[in-house]
Amino acid sequence: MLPELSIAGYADKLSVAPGETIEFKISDYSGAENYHARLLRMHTLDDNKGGCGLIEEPVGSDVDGTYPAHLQRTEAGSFIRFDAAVTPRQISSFTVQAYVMPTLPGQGRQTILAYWSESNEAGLSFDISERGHLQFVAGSDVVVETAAPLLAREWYFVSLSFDAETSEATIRKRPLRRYPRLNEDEVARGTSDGIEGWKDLRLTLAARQGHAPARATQYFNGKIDRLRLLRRATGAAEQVLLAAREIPKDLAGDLLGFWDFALEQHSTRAVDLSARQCHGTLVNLPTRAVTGFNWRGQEQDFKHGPEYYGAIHFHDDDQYDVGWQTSFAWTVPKECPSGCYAVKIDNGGWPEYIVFFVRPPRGVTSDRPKVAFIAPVAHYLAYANYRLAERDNLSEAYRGRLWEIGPEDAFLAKHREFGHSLYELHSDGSGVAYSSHLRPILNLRPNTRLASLAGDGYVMGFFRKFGIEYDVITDLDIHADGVDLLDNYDVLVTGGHPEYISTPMWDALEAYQERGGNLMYMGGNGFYWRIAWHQGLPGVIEVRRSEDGTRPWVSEPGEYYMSFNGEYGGMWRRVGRTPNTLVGVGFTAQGFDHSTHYVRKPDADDRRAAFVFEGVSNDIIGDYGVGFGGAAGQEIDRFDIDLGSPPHGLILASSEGHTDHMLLANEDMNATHLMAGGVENPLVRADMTFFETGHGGAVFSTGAISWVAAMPWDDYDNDVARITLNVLKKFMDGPVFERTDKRLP
Amino acid sequence: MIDLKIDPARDFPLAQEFWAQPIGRHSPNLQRLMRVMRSEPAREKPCLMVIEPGRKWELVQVSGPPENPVLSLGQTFTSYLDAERAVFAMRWKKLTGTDLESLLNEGQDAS
Repeated sequence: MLPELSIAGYADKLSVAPGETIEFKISDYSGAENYHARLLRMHTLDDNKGGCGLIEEPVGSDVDGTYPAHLQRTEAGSFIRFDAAVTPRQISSFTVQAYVMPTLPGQGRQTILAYWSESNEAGLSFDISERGHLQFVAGSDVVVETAAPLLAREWYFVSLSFDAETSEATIRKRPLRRYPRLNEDEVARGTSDGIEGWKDLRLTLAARQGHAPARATQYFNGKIDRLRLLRRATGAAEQVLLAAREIPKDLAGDLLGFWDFALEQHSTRAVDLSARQCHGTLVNLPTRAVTGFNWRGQEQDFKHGPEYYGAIHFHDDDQYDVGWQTSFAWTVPKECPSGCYAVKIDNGGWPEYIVFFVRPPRGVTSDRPKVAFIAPVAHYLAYANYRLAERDNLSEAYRGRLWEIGPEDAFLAKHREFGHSLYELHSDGSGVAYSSHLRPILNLRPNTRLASLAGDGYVMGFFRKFGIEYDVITDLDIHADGVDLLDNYDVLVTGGHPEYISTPMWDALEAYQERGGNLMYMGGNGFYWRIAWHQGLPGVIEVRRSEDGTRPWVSEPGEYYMSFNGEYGGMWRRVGRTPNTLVGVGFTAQGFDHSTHYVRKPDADDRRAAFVFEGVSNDIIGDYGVGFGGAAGQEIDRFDIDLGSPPHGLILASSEGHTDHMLLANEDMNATHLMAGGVENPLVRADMTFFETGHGGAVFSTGAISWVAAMPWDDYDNDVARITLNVLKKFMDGPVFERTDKRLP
Repeated sequence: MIDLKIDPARDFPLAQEFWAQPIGRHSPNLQRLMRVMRSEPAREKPCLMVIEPGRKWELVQVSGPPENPVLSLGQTFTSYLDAERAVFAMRWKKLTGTDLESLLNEGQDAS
């Protein structure tokens, strides 16, 4: 009998300060009457053999207790809704028209625009049928449909015109790319006499209003551009005028909606240019800043060519906020130590944990410890609900070892409505660009397959083991508070995989270094993807897999700029800021079958770095560890002056002995070749690096994700932990380093 | 599935190589053989459910219905490498029709 998880939850915050309240939202899937909750401080996050054990400390809080269990409804899928006040609730004659690019025609009924009454179960719906044909549905009747199905990923001009006086309905379909006998212009006509008297209608775009308690149904997959709604029937000539970007003067008086999705791309507002100002609200974050029907490469940046970026890409599995009711809340006591915490919830099955971080008090700049650990919550969001149980045929061949899942992955496989990670594809095959924490995140828990979270626990366990006082600050705190927050600390310590970085985060870390701060980059593949945090909505990030990089999907041409803030997305390396300039090393290879060790290099004998190796006599470092058996593995970084590594940087040790599954990053391979593997390629190595920065600060980088997973080996009694402690203690002395370009014998 | 055939006689030394070291540097021919074995359709692919991290695994397959997609294959392991060997033997049997473990025990070539 496999262990089974049957309870889920999330918190309204990932980072909370003393004095603030955090709310927890729980849903039970077992039918149990009750569940138990207990607040814990998490000193480590993994119970793996060879590690330091899972160390949970009960906090003893007022959230501890037994709660009635109940199921909370969850719906995925994006669409546009409208406040009842802004749209007429009765309609007779009308025209609907748009450019559409369906991505899954023929896979379930999908709505372009609906005027529907939930209570009367009546209204009109301009749909794509289950078989992929355009349809006008009036109440329970199909009034008219086109003969040929729409083709996937082809743009069409489509319209539906209904004249209440003649009862005649006309659908027009014009493909923008024609294939003889397969994809041609079409006009279909039908009649309906059941339309008079429709009342209490609610307008929705890209889905139809659902029967309570459903928010919506018939979610559209694909792009919609230049959507128009008119209060009378029209012919083809007027529809051409309506399809312009500007409102045709003669038709303005009859407009019910003339939406321009190119406006306010950063927001959840669908702007209506008509006099009615029938602005809509985007639900569940469909993808914005995407190319429209008329994009032919004229512009690459939606800000520079809004006329080519009038589309929104909707998905039936978009998810932003599942909107559960609060089950209980905790007000963080003023004296609560900063750290990693979790509420453990147990309904008698496999227990679930809701992990969050207590940050230092806001605005307090004195009496802080010397050390801050950076909890990479952006990374956790990027990998949130990484669907391990739903991999493709070649995933095991790529990995080079059996795929491992946990009970939480099996549970997630039953719940597509919890949304995806930024490593997944939507159901229509397009990449997932947004990820939020306002939903259950099944892999943000102890003993997760998300190796970086376990690794972050090893770092916190290391602090505990050696009595190091520390604060936890998250990516989001750095993004919001900037270098002022960082200035409180002599040392910043990252976890094993600080991969997703916003521009304010990068700027803060750079400024911190130049002001004498010391940085320990304890991982690999760090500072790799540029992200944006939404400026209005809490807890959601965006990524574009642009131009280059080792990535699970590729952004569509013309969609490289992020909708949240307008910045060019993708790799930091491709926006002119390499990780090498920040931390001395940058991503070079990845492989998940086997980790290996470092070998001490000549620079290790440089007097500048003597403190690093105090008490370490071995030339081989880290041939052990929880992370696939060594300290150098998973994702690794190299020192490379051509990519911006500082000329005075010291390469203290480099890894060797990788397998051919440790493959060179494709951004380092201009043309494919067979020597990409770790057996042959000299670029496939992790470089342990040290260099001084301005004003007395310094940077130490391990260059491998697996480093932190080697630290707890033999209860932290090993060279990897010793080196880490040597560096940390030296860095805790503050800005004591002298910048030099010289090697010091 | 990658369209490369496994020849039980020719490839038996590769099975021995895998048996001795399931994870780590492998010869080019063993890498090719592993790619063949590991490229089976996702629904047929065995994988491991971690019961106790680093200590106990159960062999499963993600082939069930949407409401219960992960199914147990009824084998548990306390050694990760033994799990790799067991899956290798299962695949060898499926692809060649021969029983690998008895061949290994006999210490003889499959021919």
